[in-house]
Amino acid sequence: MVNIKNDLILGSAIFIFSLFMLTESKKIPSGILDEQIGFVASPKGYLIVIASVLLLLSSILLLKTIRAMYLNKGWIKTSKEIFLPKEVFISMILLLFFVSTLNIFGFFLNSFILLVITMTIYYLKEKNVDVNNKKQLASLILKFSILSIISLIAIQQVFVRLLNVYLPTGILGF
Amino acid sequence: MNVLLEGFKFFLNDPYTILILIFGVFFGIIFGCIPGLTATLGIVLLIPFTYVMSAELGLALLIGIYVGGISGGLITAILINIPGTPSSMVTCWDGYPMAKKGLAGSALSLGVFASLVGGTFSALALIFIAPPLSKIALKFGSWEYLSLMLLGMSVVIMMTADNPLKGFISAFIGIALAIVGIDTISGVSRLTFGFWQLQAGLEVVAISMAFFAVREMLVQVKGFYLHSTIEQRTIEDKIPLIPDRETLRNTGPAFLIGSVYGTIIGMLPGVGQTTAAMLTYNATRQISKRPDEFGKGTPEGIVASETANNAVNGGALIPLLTLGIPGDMVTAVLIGGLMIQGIRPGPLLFRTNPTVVGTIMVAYFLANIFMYILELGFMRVFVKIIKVPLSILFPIILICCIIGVYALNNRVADLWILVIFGIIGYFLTECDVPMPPLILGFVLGQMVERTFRTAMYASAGDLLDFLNHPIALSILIISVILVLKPYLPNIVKIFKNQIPG
Repeated sequence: MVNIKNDLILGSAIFIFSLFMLTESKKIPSGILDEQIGFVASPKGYLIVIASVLLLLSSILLLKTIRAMYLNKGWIKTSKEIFLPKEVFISMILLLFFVSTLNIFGFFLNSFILLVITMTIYYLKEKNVDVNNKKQLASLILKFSILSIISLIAIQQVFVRLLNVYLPTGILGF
Repeated sequence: MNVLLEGFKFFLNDPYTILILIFGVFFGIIFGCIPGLTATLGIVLLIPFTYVMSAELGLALLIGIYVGGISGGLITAILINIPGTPSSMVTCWDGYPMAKKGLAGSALSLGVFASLVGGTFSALALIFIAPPLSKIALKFGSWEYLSLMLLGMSVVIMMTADNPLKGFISAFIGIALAIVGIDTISGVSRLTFGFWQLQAGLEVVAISMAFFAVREMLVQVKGFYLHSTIEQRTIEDKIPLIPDRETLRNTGPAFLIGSVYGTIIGMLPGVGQTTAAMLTYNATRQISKRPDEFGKGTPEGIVASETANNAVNGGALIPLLTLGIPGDMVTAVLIGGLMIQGIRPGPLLFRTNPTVVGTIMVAYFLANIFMYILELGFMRVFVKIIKVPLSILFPIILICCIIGVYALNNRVADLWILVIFGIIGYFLTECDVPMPPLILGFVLGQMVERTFRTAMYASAGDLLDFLNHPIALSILIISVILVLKPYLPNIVKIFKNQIPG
């Protein structure tokens, strides 16, 4: 099934990325290893070849998409209407928050936040739980908080105490 | 043979070694089946514990982890489409579709059996024909390696048959990602975009977990909107402990090809389990009576992947013991374990430390048997994973991935790679870009560039030097035939139409 909108975004993104690659290749001084191993095998030449192939492939995709748009006079509506559901978006934000604040809040606290929120929102959607039922929601959050704490204590005991893996402790010190 | 007897004698005199070996296999399976935690990481973490053990005991522990760790990856690959270790990613292609059909138990038992066959075959090769086999590895130079990588690439190209344009885009994104970092030969930074954190390149585990675990989780969460996932996750009432006769008959060639390919590829340093699994998968599909069923849940696909990636283990131990060269990343870490014990692997090892060599051989052989028993024994427990709501399973797996990726180098930068590429993977999936070519492009891309560069260096920039290497040339011709095979009927038709009359 053709999804013109998505293909246009994909083609454009890859096109821009390959242009970036070509720009980056300019930073590599010319002539490095060219004489010994030939241009294609040199660090610069290899990068240019791969970037050029990607540029070509993305151009073909863009041209095919524009042609399909012209033939269909606009976007084709497909079953892939939902591009970024709320739960997926929240997960992405949580993951980015987790990594960016890992050294500040530490592994335990960050993981606790990540686990409780993701478990709750996924469970609500997966089991079609009524969000307006506050009592049920509160009991779910409590249940997942306990589960998260138990899981994290077990993980910490195994990895930090037993296997000596270093995990950031953050300002709280655990 | 004396070496082997020494090994057996050691095991009989010290039954404690068997317990340590079983513990190692069990620990390896646990590490292998949790996405993000790999056999290599398991060995690295337990090496300090071997300081206080005898050399033989320590090696039994590490070999147990090695065998369990590589095999354990199939569990989550089949049950939730997230490979426990990167080496099991090929198992996802048919394992997960089988699980979706309600055949998770059959897929698991077949995968475990295939692991046993592959592992035992390579163990026998290790025990009986290690020295002559190791000579094959010595015949492989840069051009031969390059042609082998190109053969792997041809599989990537064949995988894109359904949507060639997006498949190629996917593979080339993977190849581009493999360029990131400091070039090992010239020392120049490439595609780091000014971030010093990228100078070491992108970790294979971080990238494969990003595109397989984080992306898969986001995609499945999106799936909560589209359909009820719970209803589809069913399992058989009775799980077969060993595959039935008909399955064995149908998958016979896959067992053979996987065992031979895996053992030989294992001997070639740096090639690894993923390439072996991929090449076997492709070769099996070529000769299969049902090639169209590959990727849709055929038992042959699982057998090909699992036999090959486990046969690599024994193959990788051959050059380690006979030449002192590690066959893969795990055996490279094992060398460290040997050296800590004051043992220098190589040809002299057979004369100076026959007990150690014998212990390694016997431990590897027994580890495969224990792996089979343990995985079958815990089969019912593993299968229960399928009943755990994804809403609980995914966040916990995510935390395990985070620990595994972070523990590799203790760098937050690796976690950024995990998260950012996981998110990118989600959007690529939304745009119908297949993921396997990307991962394989990434894994093989690194090796292709390195071997190509080394070969060109060795031949002073003369590309035609390739023609002087018959093994390389033969493999390249096979690659070309494999790529062209689906298009051959059309090419022949065009030629026939051009001939007058």
